Amino acid sequence: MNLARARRAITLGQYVYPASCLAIAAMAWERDRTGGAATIAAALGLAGIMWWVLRLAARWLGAASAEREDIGNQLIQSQKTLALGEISTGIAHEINNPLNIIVQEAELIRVNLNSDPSPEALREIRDSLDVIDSQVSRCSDITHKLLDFARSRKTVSQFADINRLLEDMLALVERETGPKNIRIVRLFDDDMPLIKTDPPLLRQVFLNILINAVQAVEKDGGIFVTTYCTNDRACAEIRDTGPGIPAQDWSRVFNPFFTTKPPGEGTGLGLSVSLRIINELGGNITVDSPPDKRGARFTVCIPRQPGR
Amino acid sequence: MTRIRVLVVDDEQDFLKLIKRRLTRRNIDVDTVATGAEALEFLRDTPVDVVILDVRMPGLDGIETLKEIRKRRPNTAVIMLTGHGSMQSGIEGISHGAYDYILKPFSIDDLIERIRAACEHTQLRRKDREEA
Repeated sequence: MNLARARRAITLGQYVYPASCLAIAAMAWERDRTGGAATIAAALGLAGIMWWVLRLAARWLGAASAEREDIGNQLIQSQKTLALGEISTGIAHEINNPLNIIVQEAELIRVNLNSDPSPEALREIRDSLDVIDSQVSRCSDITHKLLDFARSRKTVSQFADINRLLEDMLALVERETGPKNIRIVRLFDDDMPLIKTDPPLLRQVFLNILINAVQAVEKDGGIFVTTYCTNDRACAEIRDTGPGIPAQDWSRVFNPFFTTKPPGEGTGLGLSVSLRIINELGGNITVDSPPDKRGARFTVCIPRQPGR
Repeated sequence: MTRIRVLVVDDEQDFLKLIKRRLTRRNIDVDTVATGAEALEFLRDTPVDVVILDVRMPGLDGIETLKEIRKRRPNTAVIMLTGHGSMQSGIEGISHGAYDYILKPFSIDDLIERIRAACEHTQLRRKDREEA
């Protein structure tokens, strides 16, 4: 941005500076014809040199800005590759575990079928088939979630009350936070305007973030839910008193398959799906840790007017 | 505005009778069935605007029924209904495309408001699709 502006200024200066020199020279000519030729020659020479210097500077700046753009593109590319790597490992991990179990069970069935199977062996075979069944549905669950992630959602805008949407999801969450002694504190802005947005998609996002918060706190803590409005955005902030997220992971938590939960408990797709949804609604999700406090803070902001 | 047509799926007969009477009195056309399989059967011949679906039912459970309904009738809004909601069933229902999630007990006005919102949502979506 700055580079581009500087470049524009210099390009302009390239003409303005010699022009002003010429104007001075012209004035000198008018005033005093006798003092003349040498001064004018000097002024002209100066103007020429200035023009040359500025032109060179403009060229350098142009090259620098092109280079910068190139580096920026490379950086995005390498970040994409990095994210892709994480996705691939994630998929491999999530699919390989059930595959491994399926292979083992299949082998067990084969062993059991080798000789004429006893009733005991038959029961074992039936058990194995049940396990295979459940592992296959675990795999298909993962692929479905992936497809769900990749799917672009047709958003539909209808008027919604953000506080109410949050309240609905909190009612669901509170059934599990009560026994765990997690306190939910609502800090709602009572003057939130109705927002044109897609209510079911927003519910999904809120519930995703709330579930993460509950899992982060585990027990004996608090979840603080704040809503507020700025000039053009409506925001919801969900803060928990869990262990928080280290700053170096703030950008990665939205990558698909990034998860801190033990294998089998959460695929690491919740936040990436949420971010996608909010982006499609024209908004953004940010994560940080509130200063001087424990825990993570997620802020969801969507435009008050869609399509902006 | 045309009348809204709703299908209520719940295994509790008393609840079905009650809700049918209450919604009909509020000018909503209501049909009721007791299982997920019956719901799918019903929807094959009769389109409705909104399905109200109990999460826990014997046989085909709420989430499975929801998945099937979304597959076969993507223009039907589904509102999940539960007496013992867990976060997990909630996120499953919502991420499989349920429009809303209502915890029992609920007030009838609240339910009707949500039915209207769900109905509006599918109509808007249908309009978008026709325009596209």
